Amino acid sequence: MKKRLLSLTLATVMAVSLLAGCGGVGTAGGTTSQPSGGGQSSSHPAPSGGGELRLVFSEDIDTLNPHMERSSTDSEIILSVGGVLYRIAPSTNSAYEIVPEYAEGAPEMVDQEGLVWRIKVRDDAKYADGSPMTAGDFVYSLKMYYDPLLLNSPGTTLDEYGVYITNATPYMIQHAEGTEVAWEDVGVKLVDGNAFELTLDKPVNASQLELAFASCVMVPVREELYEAGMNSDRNETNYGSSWDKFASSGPFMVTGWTRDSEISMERNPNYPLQDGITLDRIVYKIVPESGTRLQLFESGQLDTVSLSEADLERYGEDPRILEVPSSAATCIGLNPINTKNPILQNQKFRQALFFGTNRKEAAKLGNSMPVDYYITDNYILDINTGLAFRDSEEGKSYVDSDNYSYDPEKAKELFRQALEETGAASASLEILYQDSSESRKKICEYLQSSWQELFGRDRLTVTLQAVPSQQLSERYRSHKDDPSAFESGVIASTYNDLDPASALMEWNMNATRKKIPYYDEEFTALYDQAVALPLEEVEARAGLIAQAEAKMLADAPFIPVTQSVSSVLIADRVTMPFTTYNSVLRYAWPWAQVNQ
Amino acid sequence: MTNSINGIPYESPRPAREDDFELLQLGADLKDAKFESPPIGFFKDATLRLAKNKAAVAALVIILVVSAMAVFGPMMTAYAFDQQFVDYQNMPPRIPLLAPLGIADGSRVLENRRADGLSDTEKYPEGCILKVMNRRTVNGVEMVDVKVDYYRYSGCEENFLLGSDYLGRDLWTRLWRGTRVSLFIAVFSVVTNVIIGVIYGSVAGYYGGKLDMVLMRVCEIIQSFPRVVVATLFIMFFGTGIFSIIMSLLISGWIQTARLVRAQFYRFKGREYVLAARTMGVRDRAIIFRHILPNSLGPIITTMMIAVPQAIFTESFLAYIGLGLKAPEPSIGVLLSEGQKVLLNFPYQSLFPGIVISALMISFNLFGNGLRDAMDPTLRGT
Repeated sequence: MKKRLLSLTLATVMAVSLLAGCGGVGTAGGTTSQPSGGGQSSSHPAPSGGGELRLVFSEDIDTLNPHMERSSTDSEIILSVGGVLYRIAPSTNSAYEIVPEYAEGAPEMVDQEGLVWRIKVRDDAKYADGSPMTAGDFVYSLKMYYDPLLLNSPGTTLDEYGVYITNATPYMIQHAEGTEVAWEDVGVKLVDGNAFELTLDKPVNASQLELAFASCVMVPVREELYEAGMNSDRNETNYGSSWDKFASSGPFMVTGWTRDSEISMERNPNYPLQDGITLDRIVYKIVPESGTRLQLFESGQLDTVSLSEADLERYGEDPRILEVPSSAATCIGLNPINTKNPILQNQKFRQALFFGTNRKEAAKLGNSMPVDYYITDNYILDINTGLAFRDSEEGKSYVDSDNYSYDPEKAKELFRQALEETGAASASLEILYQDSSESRKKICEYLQSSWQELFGRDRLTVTLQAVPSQQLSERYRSHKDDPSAFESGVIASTYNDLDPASALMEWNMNATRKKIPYYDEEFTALYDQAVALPLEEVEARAGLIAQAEAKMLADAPFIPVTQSVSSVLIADRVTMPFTTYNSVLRYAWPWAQVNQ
Repeated sequence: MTNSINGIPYESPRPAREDDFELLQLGADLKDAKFESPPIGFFKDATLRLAKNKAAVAALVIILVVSAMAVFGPMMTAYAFDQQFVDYQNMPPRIPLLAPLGIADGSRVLENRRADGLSDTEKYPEGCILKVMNRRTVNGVEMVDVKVDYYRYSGCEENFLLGSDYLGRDLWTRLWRGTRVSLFIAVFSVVTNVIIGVIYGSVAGYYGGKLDMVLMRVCEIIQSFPRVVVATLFIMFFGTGIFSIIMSLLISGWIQTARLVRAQFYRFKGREYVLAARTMGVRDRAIIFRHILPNSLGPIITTMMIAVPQAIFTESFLAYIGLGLKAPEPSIGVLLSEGQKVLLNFPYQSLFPGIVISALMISFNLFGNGLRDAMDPTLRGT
């Protein structure tokens, strides 16, 4: 009897769950009949303020510790719940501004050369729990950031933005180098008046310093919590490993984090820049499976979801779709120092590939746009007006907007000359690509076929090799020890959209994280001049950046092919602060509004 | 003379005399029938019995047809397996003979299209719209699903019998080319495995003793390597491609054959004819390959036939999880792997490779079972 009752109960529960599931799915189909209006439509009702925004990640973040962030999802969360000295914030549609958040104002130049800078922290600065935040917190954070025992390796560093703090790196790597550098010798000093001073090895200007602090995840850590989580060897801390081991100070404060399930945050009442923030709460759900994410969106449990190419086929012309171009140009990087395949050292061979690439055709293979340049139109040249570098006269001057530099006859002639110069009867090229990326595989397969067809299958053999992403990065970087570590491979790097010069960072001779071994003095000199100029000197910067990019394109250490476009479904109840994507702000969710 | 056994007396028989027996057959009409057909050998008998097994014969026909298509199929269209038509990606199948029945007629339903765009002839060329369905409003915009003649919609004048893939490559050509590659990998690896297994198993079984013990322990060690790990290691060192796949199939694939042959050798090596050959000074190699091994051929052939679908399956599995061949070379596993990524939108891209691999797997298994029954001596004459 008991068994029968149990079976009956189970059957009922299953039937109810099934019906509930069907209801969800049914709604999924039914929600296409939405009330008029939408996040991007003109008939959208005015947001009433407050409310909860429901977002989704496909995988959980690793940490809330700003010194250990590695991914864009880590930084999105940390920058939502952590305060910074200077913040990139939405200004008007498709324009941004850098505003002092916990800094009292712009950094003050102490010397005349731009090597010593003073940053004052707001006197009323507080953490979300109401405890005071001082300049000492920022100094302690920088000390821990460069700690020689913790050896943090965050995703973005100040060095990458041209801010080299004196002795910071020697201090950090002193154990590996066998040297001794005291913290007192590092160019970070607490000074009177709730401020600290930075001494740098290379001069910078104020806007460059602001941009660097706004682009890196330089969120202050709370000393008591940080020290309480430190192990006895002082080489590990559990700061930020759970929501209660983190001191919030951003626009929102973290209120819960269940691993692989959900991260929740609520509006921070002590945040200094309250204007423009209307949401009460943001919840991030962690849903690994794309089909489930889509169903949750359709049943109204999520406010946004990204669409795969296959999903995009089904959603066709759905007005809720937001198209978001990626900041990165997808390129085929060529190894110009490869000794085992010496034709790669020949500039004409590389140029032949550049002019032999039919980018318009390649762009048809997915949701993407053809590009014959490296700095995409996401990069903003003038933060105040929102002018993109690609829209400036300098940025347009060497771009072929009709054929995207596809010139088969020129390519064939260059190829013939390359073979003649190298004395080879034929050439070969192996292209590496990430095994998990379908879009990159498509591009490689297309280029393999089209290049062989253009130059002749008997004269050019292109082979493809899929490799795991970790192995791919190692192969790229191992060119320092083995110049022939790879011949070519797909690359697509994203930097700070607010500084077009940052896109060229990886290509300068002094870059530490180089994938492609391109070492050119002329290019590096132009790059150095461009980054040394203040952001406000728009035209001068544009000229230098354009010259540097044109020089690089002529040398052809890579072949730009396409710029991919992501598609995101946005619920009609959400109004986004702007309809573009920024590598630091991402979608600027803290400034979004929901209609309740 | 009287004798007794256990106390029971009996008389000794008298010696036989010549007239005690009469040769009856000399004039008698014997009823034994003469053999009407010449004596049948083992393999001929097996063939006859196999021919009676309808399932096995049907399976053999399917294998032969698929193998023939693997050879000639890619030549039946004007397209090369890697020829791309970037403008005609993911075209649906269009088979002129079946099109009037509404099957494989080149039509496709485009979901979520703006109703106000249907009259745009640049987007929807005249006559391409077959049906408009499911009108609804999304965010104030009237949306519909449209069934279109996708060839006319795309302006495609090509004819893809089984449709095209994400690069506009003809799936008919790729399917049969892929079948050829899969069959090649399977047959090559199985034949190589059998050669290694027969030699290894013969030596272990014939000599026995410590050598056998060592050889079998080596087998056990090798068999403990996980296949996916082995495949991954080969791919790491040699890159993706046929070589890595075949090598990962060879690493442990021969062990089953080696064990089987070893068992057969244990069974036959003590037989009189082997002892006689040995007594007469026949060399070991001749005893192994001329006297014992032919007795094991039946089980070996059966094992081979069953190993072929296993190898096809393994190749497909490895390709499916991304450890497949170098692009653009197809195999059934590669096609299935690519097809499953767009299963919801373009199910035909998985359907046809699925049908071919299923047909091959079932056929090889049925044929293998038929061969096993046909070559089983205990079933001879049944």
